[in-house]
Amino acid sequence: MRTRTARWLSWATACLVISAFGCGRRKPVQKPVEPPPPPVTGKSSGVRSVMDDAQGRRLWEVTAASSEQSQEKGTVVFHDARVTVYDKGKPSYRFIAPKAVALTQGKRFAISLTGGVSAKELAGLSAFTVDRMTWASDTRAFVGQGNARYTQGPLEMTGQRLSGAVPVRVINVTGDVHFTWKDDSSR
Amino acid sequence: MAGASLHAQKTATQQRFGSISGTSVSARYDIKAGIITYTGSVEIKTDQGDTLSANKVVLTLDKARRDVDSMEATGSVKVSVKQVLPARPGTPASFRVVSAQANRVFLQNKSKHAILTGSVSGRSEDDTAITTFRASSVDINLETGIIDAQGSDSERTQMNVQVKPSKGTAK
Repeated sequence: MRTRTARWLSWATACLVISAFGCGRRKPVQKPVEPPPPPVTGKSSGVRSVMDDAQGRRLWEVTAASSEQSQEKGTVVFHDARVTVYDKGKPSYRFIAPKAVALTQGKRFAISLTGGVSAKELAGLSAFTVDRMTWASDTRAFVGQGNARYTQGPLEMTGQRLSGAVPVRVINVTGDVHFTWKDDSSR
Repeated sequence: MAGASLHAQKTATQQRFGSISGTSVSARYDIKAGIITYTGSVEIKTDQGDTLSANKVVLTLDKARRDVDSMEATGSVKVSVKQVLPARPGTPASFRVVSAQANRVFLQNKSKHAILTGSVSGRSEDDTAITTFRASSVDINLETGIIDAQGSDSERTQMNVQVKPSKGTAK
């Protein structure tokens, strides 16, 4: 054991001496500058992303024509996205937008939709359109901005902002609100 | 006048409000309760020719969410109701405009009643008379045109005006 340790020490000392006198005189080899990692680390087409709860009930589903994953930002960009939000395992609302940026933090999932969003209640008459909106899985709330238009049967409301939560029980429209209620009795 | 008579018959069978349109600062639609609340400089008009402005207006919908059951306006309410009084034997159908101010106005769609409360003042105007009223509570039957003013401070003045010849009436 002693012999082995002595050999190792002498080899290490020799290496140090060589590096101090021999290698030190050599021109330093310049390490090539590595380009920064590309922001996009993965691309997919015809993508589908789903999340279920502990009981196996679906919470949300995103389908898109294509997606780009950025590990740097921790986001996924979906193109031609369809976001379906479930309530008690059943599809409740669907948001459709040309572009959606999803951010996942642990169990929390938030998605921002831009480029003109159209939304429809899948088991009802409610529908709305808005320029851009966000939806978060933890609060199940959505907030839309710009040219909001909500319809349900004879009711139509327009404004600048629109908010609610899935399942939609209350809708808030604010900012220069215009509304119409079309008489149903003549139909 | 035949057109006016037809219009009166049509509105009698329909909901009073007809179609509604308006503006406000914000709107809240409680789908589960069937209540729409408009707040902030609310202005409403109906396709029957009625107008209303208030600080807050609450529409209560029917169970099927197909009709407006009632409309409650509060806070500096100004209302103008155009009434079509149906033709009766010997008298043609006529129009009347009732405009009033109150703290609260409650309009019932099916019963076609408007109940105005809190410092009510207003006037009713038609071809034959101008009636002004002031009371703490006023009940207007939108179908018959009867204005029932109540309260200790109620005041009602009527001024007959010259009967204007109706269109198409031979003179």
